[in-house]
Amino acid sequence: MHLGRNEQGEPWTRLGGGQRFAWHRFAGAPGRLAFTLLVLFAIAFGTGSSRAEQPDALSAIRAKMEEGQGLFLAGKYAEAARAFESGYASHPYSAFLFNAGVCHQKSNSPEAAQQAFEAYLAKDPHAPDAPDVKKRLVELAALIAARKAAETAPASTDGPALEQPNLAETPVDSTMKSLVVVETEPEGAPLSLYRRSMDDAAPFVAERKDNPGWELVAARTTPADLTLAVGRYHVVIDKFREFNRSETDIDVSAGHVHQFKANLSQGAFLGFLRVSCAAKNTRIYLDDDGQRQSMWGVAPHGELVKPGEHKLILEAPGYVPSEQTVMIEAGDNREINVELERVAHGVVRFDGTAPEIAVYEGDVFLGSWREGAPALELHLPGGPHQLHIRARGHKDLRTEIDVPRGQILPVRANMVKKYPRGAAWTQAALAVALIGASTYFAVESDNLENQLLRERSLGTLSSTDPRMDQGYWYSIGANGGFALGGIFGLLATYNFIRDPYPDSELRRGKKMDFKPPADDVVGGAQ
Amino acid sequence: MNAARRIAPVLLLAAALGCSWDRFDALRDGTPVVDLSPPAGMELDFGATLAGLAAGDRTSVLVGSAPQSSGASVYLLGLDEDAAAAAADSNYCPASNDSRMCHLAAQPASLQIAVSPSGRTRANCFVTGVGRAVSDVGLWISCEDTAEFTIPVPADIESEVVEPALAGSGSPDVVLASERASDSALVAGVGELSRAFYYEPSSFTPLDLTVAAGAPASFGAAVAVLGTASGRVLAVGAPGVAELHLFAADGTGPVQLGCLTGPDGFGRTLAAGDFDGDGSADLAVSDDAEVRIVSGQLIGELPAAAAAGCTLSLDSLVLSTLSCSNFGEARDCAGSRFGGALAIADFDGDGEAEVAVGAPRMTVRGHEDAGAVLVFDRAGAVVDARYTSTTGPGHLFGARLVALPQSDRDILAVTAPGAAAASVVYCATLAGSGNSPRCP
Repeated sequence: MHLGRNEQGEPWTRLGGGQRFAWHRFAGAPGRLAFTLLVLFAIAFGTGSSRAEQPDALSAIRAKMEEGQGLFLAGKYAEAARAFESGYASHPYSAFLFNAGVCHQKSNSPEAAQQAFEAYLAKDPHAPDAPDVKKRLVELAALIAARKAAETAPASTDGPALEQPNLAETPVDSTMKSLVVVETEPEGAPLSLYRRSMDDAAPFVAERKDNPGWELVAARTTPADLTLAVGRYHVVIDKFREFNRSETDIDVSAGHVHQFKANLSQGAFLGFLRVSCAAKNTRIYLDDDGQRQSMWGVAPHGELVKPGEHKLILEAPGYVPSEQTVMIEAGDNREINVELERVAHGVVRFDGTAPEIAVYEGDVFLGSWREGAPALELHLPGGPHQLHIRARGHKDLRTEIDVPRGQILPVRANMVKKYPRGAAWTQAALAVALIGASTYFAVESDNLENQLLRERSLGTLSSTDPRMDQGYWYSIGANGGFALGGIFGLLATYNFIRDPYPDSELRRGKKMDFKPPADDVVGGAQ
Repeated sequence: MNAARRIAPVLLLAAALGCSWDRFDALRDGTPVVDLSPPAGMELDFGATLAGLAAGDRTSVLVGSAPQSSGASVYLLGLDEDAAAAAADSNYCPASNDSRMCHLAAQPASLQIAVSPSGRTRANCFVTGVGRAVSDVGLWISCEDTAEFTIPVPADIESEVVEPALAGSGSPDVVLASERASDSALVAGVGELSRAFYYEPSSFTPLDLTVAAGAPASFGAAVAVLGTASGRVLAVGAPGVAELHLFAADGTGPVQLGCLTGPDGFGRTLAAGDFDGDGSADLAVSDDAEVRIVSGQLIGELPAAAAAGCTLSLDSLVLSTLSCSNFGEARDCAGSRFGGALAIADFDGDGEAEVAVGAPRMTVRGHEDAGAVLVFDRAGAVVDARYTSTTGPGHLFGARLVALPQSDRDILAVTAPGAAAASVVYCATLAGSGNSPRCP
């Protein structure tokens, strides 16, 4: 930043693009009234009509201008011409027409170039470069005529055919022009714009009648929009009502939109602060003293601020609030980009496909979700977590989830019903019953055998002792029962193990940022 | 599937080892007691009468229905513990028609050799009771070759016993006895008529046994034949008067040897067998409470008509006196009808005889009147009590018993009329004989 001084010895503030603001007190005003001229420039923003444009419109104008400029620099002249013409259709500034004409010239379309320049003059007959444009039109007319002559000349076998003149090969001034918007508060102030015609010209001094190397190119009242060629200019806001004169140098670059604003009513020299942040919906509090009662804006946001120390607080959903102090001096143009750090926790927004689902981390119950209810929001520390998700009648789901810091991870548990085990349980019950009965019969048969062996050892065992038949059939029953029980056991085991259904799974959605509170106004860039 | 693989061997092992049923087949094939199957029509009174026959390798037993009824079956027992439970012949006391009618004696007998009135000699016969064969009446004899005939009885017996029996009007019980010998005499008694008579070997002529002083009441209620070194002796009990009358039968007719008297009921049951191993059959005599073994040799040495009255000294002839006592699971001697059936034989194959005494109303394993057979050794001590694993209340096991030979020992055939059962008891002691498949 370079600081100059105005005629009262107050400092100039040279900002970013080389533009210079000056302020001075209005000559006829009471001594207590100090007028401050603050020239703001916002190269990054577009302009509108001669009236102050809304920020969105300025951005659109700037976007169109830069789109055309970019295409032009890439050598895509026809596309660049269409971009400028499109810009003019939306925002009828004559700079679009001039640039479109240049592009047509470069694309060897003299008729289109002619139309564009003619429209330019029609739109802004007092343009500073009107003579030059008229000269271009003459040259274009000659060229067009030469082309027609070449087209209508009979073909000759004796001599060479007339060569078609190529406009693209014709040396022309192909410099893009820029739109310069000069505004004041209040409006209606007289504006004089001088262009430095000599590179070694001395600095412009308003009190001097003759400033060699400077020439007056426009005299308007504010607000005014001007189509200017690349170069250094000097803006003079003459005495207006009770306000003093104000002036500043400006450098106009090719294919841009420049906006200058002089606030004549301020008693102090204001600075411009613009705060940007990559985080979405970042709310900016300026000198709010931590109360969060009055939001300054939503990043990116720029605004005139009083010179001095300002407390800047940025808050964004999912981020740790940032707090810092910024020193803004008069006429300062400060651009601050703040990087916020995400909060340590994240939110898992959970729902599922079962009527009721419980979520555990290890043995810790985290919450449950029911069908029809809003998604369950689990606030968890960022990082991996082992979740155990359970739903009655459904397969348990054990999975690891990586909780994003400061973000919402929507997940849906696709709970798959457990494979019906009715047949398996029936078979198992039969197996148990059969094996149980078989065990009973086996034990009983053993008991009977022991009794019979004792009888035999006593010599009393009778051949018709019914316990022999009883034990015999008990043994057969036990064997049959064991066999059947084993078969049913195997079937039950198979049917317990068999599971044709897929496992439950957790479907992860796209991570989302935290939403701002409902009363937040998410504005555009300033 | 891993679980199934683990379970399957366990199940198979359990099935293979824990529950094989053929172990019961093995038990059934070698039971120490073989129950004889009653033929059709004999299910109710089966085992009420019993007789045994031993002739060389032919060992059989006759099991009949109630006395005075018809129907008796013969079972072949063999000599090697291979008794057939099914009857070999069920027509040993038929009642087909008036010309083929038999009524069982209370105690049948067997004859290795029998001669029919036609003069034909028959082998392996049972004298089952009284009856009519064609037109002849008398004692009914059925033989192994299916021959059936009667031998004459004294006229009074025919009129008072045989004919009423054939008429179905009720008749006195007849008891029969013979020796375990090929030339056995046959003795018969009718206690109700105080009558006894006998047949010499191979004879079908009845010879009356008379008492000089007159037959006492119940004379002939029990009879026995003893082969002694001095000759054949016939014993006739008169339990009503507690007398035992002895006769010599040397082929020339009966000669009264004398009379023994004993406690009440003396002479109730008689059985012959060589108890003391002296080669002479001894006589087991039961009374209402005890059993006495009377020396056959001493009896044989008694002089003919030594005493006209009943004056012989019992004590001088008795070898052993057997009293009922609890043994094993057999209890309650009082009222056990100890001595209701008797047999003298070598049941354990040790060369010394034991005495089997039926006590059909003993309590066994808590079952009243289940019945048991007590076995006594020479010393008169109880060494065994026989009953079966199926013995139950009221079975009256031991109501009838008979000793039969095996190749190495004697066995018992015992009936339990209360259960309509008859069993062949192979093992001699409660601990088992320990030397045969059925008695390990």
